[in-house]
Amino acid sequence: MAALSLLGKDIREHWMPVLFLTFGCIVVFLLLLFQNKQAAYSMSTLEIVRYALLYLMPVVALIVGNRLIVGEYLSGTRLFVEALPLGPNLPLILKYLLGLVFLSGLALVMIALAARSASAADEITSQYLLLIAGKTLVMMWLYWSIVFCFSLCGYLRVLLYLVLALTVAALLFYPGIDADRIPPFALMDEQLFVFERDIVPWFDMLGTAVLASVFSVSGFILTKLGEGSVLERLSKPMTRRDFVAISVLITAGIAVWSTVAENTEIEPIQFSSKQVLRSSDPVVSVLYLSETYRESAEDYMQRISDSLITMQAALGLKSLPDVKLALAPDREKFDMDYMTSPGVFVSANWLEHDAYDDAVLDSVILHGVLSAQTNGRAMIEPYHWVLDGFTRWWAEQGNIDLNNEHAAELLARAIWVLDVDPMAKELVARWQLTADRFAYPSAEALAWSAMYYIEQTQGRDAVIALATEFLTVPLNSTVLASIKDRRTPPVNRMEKILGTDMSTFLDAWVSWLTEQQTNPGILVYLESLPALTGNVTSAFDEEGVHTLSASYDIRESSLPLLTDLSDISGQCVMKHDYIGPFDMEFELVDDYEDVAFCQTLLPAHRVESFYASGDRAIVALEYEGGKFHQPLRIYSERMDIQ
Amino acid sequence: MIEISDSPVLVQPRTDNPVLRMHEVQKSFGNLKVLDGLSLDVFPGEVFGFLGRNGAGKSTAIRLLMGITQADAGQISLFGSSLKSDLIGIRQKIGYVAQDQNMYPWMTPKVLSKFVRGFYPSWDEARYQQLLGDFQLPPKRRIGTFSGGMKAKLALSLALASRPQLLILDEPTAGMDPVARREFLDLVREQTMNDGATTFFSTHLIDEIEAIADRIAIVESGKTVYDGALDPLRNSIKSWSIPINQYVAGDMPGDFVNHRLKLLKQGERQGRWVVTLQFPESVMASLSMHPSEGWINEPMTLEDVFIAIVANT
Repeated sequence: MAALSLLGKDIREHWMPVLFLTFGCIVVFLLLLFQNKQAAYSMSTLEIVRYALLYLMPVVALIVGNRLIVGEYLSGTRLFVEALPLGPNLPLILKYLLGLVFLSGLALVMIALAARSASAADEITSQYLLLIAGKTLVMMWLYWSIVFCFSLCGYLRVLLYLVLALTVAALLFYPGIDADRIPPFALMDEQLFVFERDIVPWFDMLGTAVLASVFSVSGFILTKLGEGSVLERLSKPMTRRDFVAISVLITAGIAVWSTVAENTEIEPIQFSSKQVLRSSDPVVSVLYLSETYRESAEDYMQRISDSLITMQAALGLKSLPDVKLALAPDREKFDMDYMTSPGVFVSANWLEHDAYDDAVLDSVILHGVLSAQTNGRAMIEPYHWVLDGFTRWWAEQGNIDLNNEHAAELLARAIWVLDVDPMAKELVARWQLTADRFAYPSAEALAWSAMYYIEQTQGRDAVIALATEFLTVPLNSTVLASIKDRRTPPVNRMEKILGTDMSTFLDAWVSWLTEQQTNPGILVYLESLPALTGNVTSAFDEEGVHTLSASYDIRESSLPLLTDLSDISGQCVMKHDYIGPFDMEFELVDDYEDVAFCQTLLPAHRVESFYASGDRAIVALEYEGGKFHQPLRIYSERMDIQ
Repeated sequence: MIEISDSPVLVQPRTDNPVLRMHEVQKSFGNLKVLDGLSLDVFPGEVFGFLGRNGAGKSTAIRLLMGITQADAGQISLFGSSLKSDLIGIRQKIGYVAQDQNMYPWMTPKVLSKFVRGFYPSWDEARYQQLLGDFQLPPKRRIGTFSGGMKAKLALSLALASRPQLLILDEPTAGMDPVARREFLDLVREQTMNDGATTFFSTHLIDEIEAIADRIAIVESGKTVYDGALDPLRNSIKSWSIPINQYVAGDMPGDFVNHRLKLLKQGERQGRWVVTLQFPESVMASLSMHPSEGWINEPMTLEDVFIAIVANT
């Protein structure tokens, strides 16, 4: 009877907030399920259970603990219950069980919702469900035990949660500890939590259960210490002094953490091999792997060093980041690994490069060097096109004479881009879209053509002035630095250097490019290009097999492009890959590609059973070969596989 | 100079079975000894005043009686049984009004009764409703909006509705204004008289004790320094004074002081030397106490008596 009265009281006291909490959780969970359906890499909606367990349920447990236990202790109503005719442990045991049952019930509802959704595409056996439920319930027990124990610690609980969070962070991020092997982290393993269907992780479950028991028992022991006098002292509300003390501790913690973080910067890549060429000013290292390649490495070292020295002088840069270049003979000639922190590291195969290919590689290195000057900010700023255009410009004609063949190829590419999408002329407003749609070789050619036009019309100094304005000032990654950087809008700064407003400049540049179409050197390139556009279809057949297919059509163009496909020397390639919702500037590698003869009669490409419902993918149709060094992206599309 | 007597305090022995007995009870919290051999008996039907200063150990003694904390040493029995043998059964026979009314602020008196009745087999809902009516407590208003006095009346209603054999009141009028306090005490007196329940009333306010108690115990520093009726205590203590310029060191109000039980207090107060003495009851009845020249008898309130006793301890 006493137990029923206590239960009745708790239910009467908390039913409304609990109802809202339950409703809120289910809505959030359904939203997560929905989002997961849209997201890439979503293999099973049961994965959402894991996300909910990691991010949602701890918060729910905190709310429940706060209402059920902290409220009772801080308000002193515990003293009223304490004097009633009942056993001394009954109220707390009931609260413990009530919290645990609620949280477990909520978790099971979430599993049921996820399982129902997952069953549309997956076989959800009872054993599989039991396994997921078992792991979930053990985790819920741990969460609730921690909250239960800390809730009884009164005003100390905030501090305890902070310490716990720091401990968890230390375990997760400390390089010497493999947290994935330690319960409860092992239980929440990214792969095994959802995708393990048969093996019960007894050890991890037992470890987590032991932890939960320790926290639970600690909570009950705490209530007995000093016949509850310890608990009573802790139950007093936090004073201003407590708040100040905790704030000081948090601030000190953040300060210590930032200091430590400063000291744990990523170690630069070191070449330990003997086959390394090194120069100290600028700091350039070239790993050539074998004496056979030494000569080419020396040539490359000389070229890039000269380029960097002259660029540093031209832009007035105080220092340059270390540049490390590693030869990777097994790579394709345009397949490069590129890292910019710390220094610039590029792994590439230059053994079969011609001068154009070398310029592409140089441009990539210079891109890394100048990007580092802005602390990586230029990549996400409205002057990204300046970075892309200037680096190629410097690689082509910064400290050497411009090769006419290169210029013709680059101009032809730029003209083709504007023919396909005239809006690509908006260098400031649409640069990211252009780079996304046409890929970096064409985007870079477009930006280079703008730089070349500036050089032709205003001289070399104007190009260098533009680069100096935007690419030599290191921006700190702070809000204040961003505000300072935006006191004068980038467009105004560009207009000041160019001496004209941006739209006039863009129109003049496009007109100039149009005039170049008649240049015989450029015409050769344009006339080798097929006048193609593409179309991509995603469909499931009756048996649920997914097919991705692509076809080509002849498109109308003012350019003298090829319309007779029998005359083309290149090939059509469909490249595709999974994408995340915020991925951009895709560099589709050759891993997933379908090569075909360019034709318009039938679907040229067909890929079966590669994607599942809910995946997100980017599909690009490119023209490779012929006179152009790098592929031209004819068409690209981001798609939800439904 | 008169030496302080070693004689024990006045104790009124009774032979019937007490409802409540504490014998040589000791309780410490760390190094702080709160109860140091507290002994008292409360007999059926009486209103027992438990008097002591703040910090004297009254609330600790009550928490021990309620079984909320455990004694370090000594015996405690209620209704002839030890607390350990049947804590829940004993508590069901007790109505308890705490010093702080920690009732759930979101509850109404009606909801509170639904909650509390489950703990008491002898719960009398009709009486509870009647008490709410008598005390003019709105049954459907949230307790959080009640004044301190209303909360105390509600706590008393709850305590009485369980038809207790023993009513324990732990400074229930703390924070009440004088009118509300008087009203509350009248209600306690009236209700306990009607019920015939034994009442254990803890307070540090002398006038409350005067208004309500049949018998009192004075507790100081965790010990019982007086256990008995009020009048004998009041009558056993007398005070005399003489202008300070007429006072000769060691002088006393008269020869009768040789029959004293104790010198409770002496010292200067407002230009006069004041001496307070305690006498055995027999002496008070037989002796005529005419003071020597210059000395006058000082009228004493119960509060003065209490202060004299406590100060002497």
